Parts: sequence; C-alpha cells; structure tokens
Amino acid sequence: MEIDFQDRGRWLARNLLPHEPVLRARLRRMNVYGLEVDDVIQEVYARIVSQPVLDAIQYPLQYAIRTATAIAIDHMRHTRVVPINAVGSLEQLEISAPEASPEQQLEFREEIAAVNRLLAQLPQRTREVLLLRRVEGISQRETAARLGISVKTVEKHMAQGVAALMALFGRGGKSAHRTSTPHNDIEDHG
Amino acid sequence: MVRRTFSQIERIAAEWVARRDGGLSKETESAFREWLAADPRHLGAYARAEALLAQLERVGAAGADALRAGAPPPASSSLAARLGMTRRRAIWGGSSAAGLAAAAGGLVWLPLLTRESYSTALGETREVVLSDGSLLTLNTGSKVLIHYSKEERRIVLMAGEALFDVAKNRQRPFLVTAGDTQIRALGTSFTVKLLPQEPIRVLVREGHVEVKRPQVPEAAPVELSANTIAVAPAQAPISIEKLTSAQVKRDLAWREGRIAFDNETLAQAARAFSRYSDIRILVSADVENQTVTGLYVTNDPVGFAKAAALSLGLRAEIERHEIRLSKAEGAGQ
Repeated sequence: MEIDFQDRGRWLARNLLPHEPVLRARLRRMNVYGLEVDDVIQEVYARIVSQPVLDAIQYPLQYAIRTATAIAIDHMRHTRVVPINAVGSLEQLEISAPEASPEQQLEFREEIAAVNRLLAQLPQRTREVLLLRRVEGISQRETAARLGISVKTVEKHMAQGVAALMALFGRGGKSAHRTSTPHNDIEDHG
Repeated sequence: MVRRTFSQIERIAAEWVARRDGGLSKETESAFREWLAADPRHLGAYARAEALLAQLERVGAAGADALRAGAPPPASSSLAARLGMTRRRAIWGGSSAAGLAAAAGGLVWLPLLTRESYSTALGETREVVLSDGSLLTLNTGSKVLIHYSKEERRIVLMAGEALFDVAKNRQRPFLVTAGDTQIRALGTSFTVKLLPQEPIRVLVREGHVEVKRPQVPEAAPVELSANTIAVAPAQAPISIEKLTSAQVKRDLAWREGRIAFDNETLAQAARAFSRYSDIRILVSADVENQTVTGLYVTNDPVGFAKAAALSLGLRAEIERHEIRLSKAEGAGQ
C-alpha cells in the first residue's frame, strides 16, 4: 500500500500522539518480560498507519491500547516466555479503556507547551530549520538561503531535529518536566 | 541479522524524513520503500516522525493564536506587530501566557510562531478568533494572510473561501483582497470565495461592504448590503444578485460540514464535492444535467452519490478514488 505520510501524519498528530503518554504508562505497568515499550510504540504506529481507513477509528486511545495488547500477545507467543502475571496484567491493560478522560489526554494548550518545551531543547539552528520548513512552509532551498547555510546542512539539521523530537516526546511521561530531572544536557539558547 | 534497537531505528527514520523532505530520486525512493518494508518498526518509527512534524505544524499554525486567546493582547500589540521582532513581547505579555513562555525556556523562535497565516487542508474547516475580536472561518483548502496595523486590518485571501465576522471599529477599516478584487467593510459579516477558473464571489450576510477592482477599468465599484452576492468575472463588470436569507444560509452550510444543493445539476454538484476530498465524482454526459436538491455531508461524496443514484435511478460505481454516475442499464430511453 502506498501511504500518504503527510496526510496520515496529520491524523496521527491529532489522534494518536496526544495519547502516547497514556499508552506508554499502560505498557510500562504491563511490564512484559523482554518487551521494550518503545518497540511496541513503533509497532502500534506501524499497524495504525497501515489501516486502510483511519477515520474509521472512532476511539483512537482504545484502539491503540487494543493494538498494543495484540502486539504483546504476539510477542509472548513468539518468545514462549509468559510471565506469571502476564495474563492478569494484559486484562488490566484492556479493562478501563474508555476513551481518555480530559485529564489523561494532552489538551491542545498543553500540547503547545509541550512542543515549546521540545523546541527549547534543540540547538537554535536546528530549531530554526524545523520552524522555517514546517511552520513557515518555505522550501529547503529558501531555508538554506535565509539562514546562510547549504541545502545539505539544512537536511542535516532536519534529521537531527526530527531525531531529537522522537527521542524526547513522550519518554518519561508527561509529568517529567515537573519532577525536574537534570536532563538539560543540551545547553539553553534562550 | 542483528535486531536494531528502537533508538537506532529512530535515527534512521529521521534521516529518511530529512532526505525525503528535499525530494527523492526514483532509486532513493525505492530504497526508502524497501527500508520501510523490512521491519514494521521502521514503518512505525517513520509514521511517528511524520506525526511529530505534523504536530509541530499544527501547533505552529495555531499556537500563537491559542495563547493569545488565554491572554488578551495589550493595546500596543498592533504597533508591535509592525515592528515584527518585538511583537512576541506583546503577545506573551499576559500573565498566563507568560507562565507558558517561562515553561518554554528560551523564546528565540517565537517570532516565527507568531506569523499570521491560516490555512485548511482538503475537507477541513477552521475557526480563528483574530486579535481584534473578528472571527475568521475558513472553508476547505483555503489560505489567508493577516496583516494588521494600527490604521487598518488587511487580509489577503490566497485561495479558497473564508467567512469574516468583522468586529466593529470605525477607525480601523477591514480590507480583504482576493485576486484583483478588494472588499472593504466596517462591522459586518461576509464571505469571499476565490476558486480556480471561477469568478471571485463576495456574499454579504450582514451590514455593508464595498467591492472594487482598481485594475479592471470596466468594473465600477459596487456597494453591497445584506443578502447580496457580487460576482466578479475576469475583465468584466461586477454583477450583483439579491438572495433570500434561505439561500444565504445554504451558501454557508459548509460551516457545519454540510453542502447544500437546490436544483443544482449533477455536474455542478460533482464540482462542489471535489473541493472537499480527493474522491472524484465522474458524471456521464447523458445524466449530467439532472438536478439534485438536499443537504449532504461535505466529506462524504460516496453518501451523496448513493443518494443521488437512488433518487434519480442512476447507476453508481464506487471505487477507492472515483465514483462514476451513469444511466442505469435497462432504464430505457
């Protein structure tokens, strides 16, 4: 299947990304032996993005949790390592899976703050490239011209920026910033 | 084969995003497809990367405005707007906004986020409260640029259709430009439509607006009152038509995600639907002048085609990206 990533990315940004912190918390609680939360997250995205019609998914969080459960079951079948509490915890994962309560889901306001926090952790140039390309929507070539760097460098910053967003988003849950762990290894350019 | 860790995969996915961002050659694109197919986690990581960028776009487009909604801009904001760089101070001046600003850390990027242009994707509609309190509603596939200054509120409709519910302010005229047409309003409510290969249309729901086209000598300026539509074809005078309020309401059905037809031909209806989705409705020539009436959902061309086929006794062939309407077989002449 040819996937229109831009279009599907928009759907995911609206319907899956805001639920990722909750999904991660559930997966961590499930704690299946040898199952990495981030591996499951990647597979959840893979399965959902390959659905023929995304708009048919009415309750994205519920759907994501069901998908994650299926992945965990596949994993256990495959490895034949079934932890004693796995069955119970899988049920737990699936119980109380009504659609996210307003507190669970990242509100748009929070989302803005979260994106700002992510941006704050990027090197200034990288941040500028991301914003010029994706928020301003100007071409790669023009971005290069405006910043006085080569197109190749623009591409490098883009890769770095996207990698950083992926590594930072959702990891450690949405309250991570409140517990002020000393993770500010990237210097602040403010 | 060594199983890669999720973070290695993320890094490779990010590389692909960056490379595809600049456009890929055929061979590289097929290498990308191969990589995607090699492991479901590749596809997942890539999709997540695209989602994160889409989130950035979404927040970038609405972010500054959403923050402003929580903290009304100080009186100096329009002046600050003209000064560009200092603008963010005006926007982030309110107390709750300041809290978020502090949470954000360095604010170097904010001037970029406060750019004012709004757009909608195919099938999307969107409402935006502008800094003067005017309400902007964008229909599918539309884009506007906002240039507010102390003296005037200037908006450029780049494409599509927009409804403006203008906040009254006699000192600061509200001016909309669409192609070669300029619309000037005080407190009023009107839509402007700029579609490819169609004349520009201005529909007034309330109040008065003035429409002029300085570069078109044969088109004299006109003044429109409520329930009037002006049609401005290329290089020709502006024509005015009075509408009933029911017609005006129908014309604005898109705000509720609806599309309304009143004796429109199937050809016209198909064109109307094409603005809202990628699914094309193809109407065969022998039935294209049959007419339809009713209220339909803008993003459901299939539902429309089925309903039309049923009520007109047509054949509807529905495929993924195409719906063909034609005369039912055995339907006689």
